[in-house]
Amino acid sequence: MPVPVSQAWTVASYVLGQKLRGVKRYPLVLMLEPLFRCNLSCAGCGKIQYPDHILNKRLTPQQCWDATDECGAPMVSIPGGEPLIHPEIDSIVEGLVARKKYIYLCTNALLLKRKLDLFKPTKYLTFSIHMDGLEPEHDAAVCRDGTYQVALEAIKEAVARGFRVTTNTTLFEGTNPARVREFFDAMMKLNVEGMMLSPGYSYQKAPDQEHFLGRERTKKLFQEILKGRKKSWKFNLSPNFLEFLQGNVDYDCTPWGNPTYNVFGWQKPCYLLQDGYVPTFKELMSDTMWENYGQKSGNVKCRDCMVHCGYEASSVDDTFGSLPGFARTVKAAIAYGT
Amino acid sequence: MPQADKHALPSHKPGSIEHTTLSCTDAASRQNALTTAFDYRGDITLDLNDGKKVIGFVFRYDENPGQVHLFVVHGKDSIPQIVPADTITAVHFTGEDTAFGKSWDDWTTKAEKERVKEAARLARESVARGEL
Repeated sequence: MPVPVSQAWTVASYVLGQKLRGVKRYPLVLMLEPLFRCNLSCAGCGKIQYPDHILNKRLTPQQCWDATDECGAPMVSIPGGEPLIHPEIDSIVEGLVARKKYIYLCTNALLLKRKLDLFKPTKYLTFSIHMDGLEPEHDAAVCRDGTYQVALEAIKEAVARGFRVTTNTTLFEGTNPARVREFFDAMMKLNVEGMMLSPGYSYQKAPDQEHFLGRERTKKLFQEILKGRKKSWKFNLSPNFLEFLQGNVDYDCTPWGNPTYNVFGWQKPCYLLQDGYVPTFKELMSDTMWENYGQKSGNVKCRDCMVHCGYEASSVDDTFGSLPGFARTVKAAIAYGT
Repeated sequence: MPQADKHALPSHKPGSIEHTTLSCTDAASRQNALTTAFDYRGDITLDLNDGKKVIGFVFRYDENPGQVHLFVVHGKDSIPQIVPADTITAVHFTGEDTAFGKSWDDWTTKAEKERVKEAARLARESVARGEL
C-alpha cells in the first residue's frame, strides 16, 4: 500500500466526519502556491506567464499557515511555480508538519539535491517529483535537456535519505502508451512510493490550447497504458480515479475539493480556472456559483477536463458516500494494489 | 471577449493585443475592456476620469460592484489597489503579453538551434536569479 496507514486513516476519518455532519462541500487537498516563479519555462504552461513584479511575489510562511488553518483540509499540495525557489520553503513545510498536514511538495527537482538538508524525513512530507516520461519525453516536455537526469539523481538521493517520494506525470496529446509503461517500470525501480498521473488541462489563459487531450482520447489512452498493468506499478491515486480515467466509472467534477490559494488570494473556482479571487476561504465556498462548473454544467471550459485536482476528490467522496462506492473502491484497490 | 476577436485588434505583434487600447465609452465597452484586461497576462495602464493613470496587473474584476483589483507597479514591487470600474475611461495594454509566442506549437516550430539557444538563455536567467 503506497500511502501510509496513518494518512489513509486521517483522510478517511476526515471525510467521514464531513459526511456525518452533513457537509456537502468540503476541501480535501489545499493547493498552496507560494509563488509563480519557476526555473523551467515549459511551453504551454499556464502557471508562469506573468510580469516580473508578480513572479517576484512570495507568500509568507504565516500566510501559508493561515490559509491552511482557514481551509482545514487534511492534505496540502504545494505546487507553483517551483516551490524550492521560495527562500522560506523549509519554514512553510515545518509549520505544516507541526499542524500534522500531509504535504505533497511538487517540484521539478532541479534544486532538490541541493536543498534536501533543509528538510527532515517525516511521514507528513512527500516530494512529488514532476516527471513527464522517460528522458527524451521528459526533457522535451520541459523544454530543457538534462532535466531528467538531474531529477533522477535527486529522487535517488531523497529515497536513500528516507524521504517519501512520488512522481507526478502529466500526459498530453501524442503520448505513446508503450513508452509510458516503460517509464512506470523505470520509476518503480527507483523505489518511489507511488506514481501520480493526470491528463493535462488546457488552461484558459495558457498560451497553448492545442495539445491537451479530449475526454474520449483520455479514456482510450489510459486504457492502453493500464491494460494488463504490472503488479509492481504503485499509484499514489485513489483507485476509483484510475477507473474514472479509463472510462469505467463516471464522475462529475468536485471543484471545491482542491481549493487554491496563491499571491492573488483564493482562486475561483478551482486550481485550473481563474474566474477571479476572493480574500477568504469562506467567501470562496459561499460566493462561487459551483453549479456553473464541472462537465455536467455544460461549461465549455470544463468539457474536456479529467484532471486529478477535480476528480480525485470526486472518487474519494464516492468511496465514503455509499456502500456501492465503497465496494467499488475495495475492488479497484485490489486490482491496482493501491 | 472571444480570443478570436481580441486577436482581431490592431497590434504591433500579430495575434497579440499588446500595445492596443480599448476605450470605455459606455457600459458594454467598459465591460469588454475590463474583461479583456482581466484575461491579459501582462500589465495594463488605466486612464481614469480625473486624468490620472494607474499601471499594474489586473488579477480580479468584479462586475457587481464594478471594481478592478490590480497589483500596481511600485518600483520593482507592486501593491494591491482597487479601482472603481466606472472611473475608467480607457485600458491600454502597455505591458508585455507574457503568454504570447509561448505555446507548444510556437516552441516546436522553432528551429532546433533556436530552441537550444532559448533554453540556454532561460537557464542562464534562472542561474542569475539564484534559482538553479
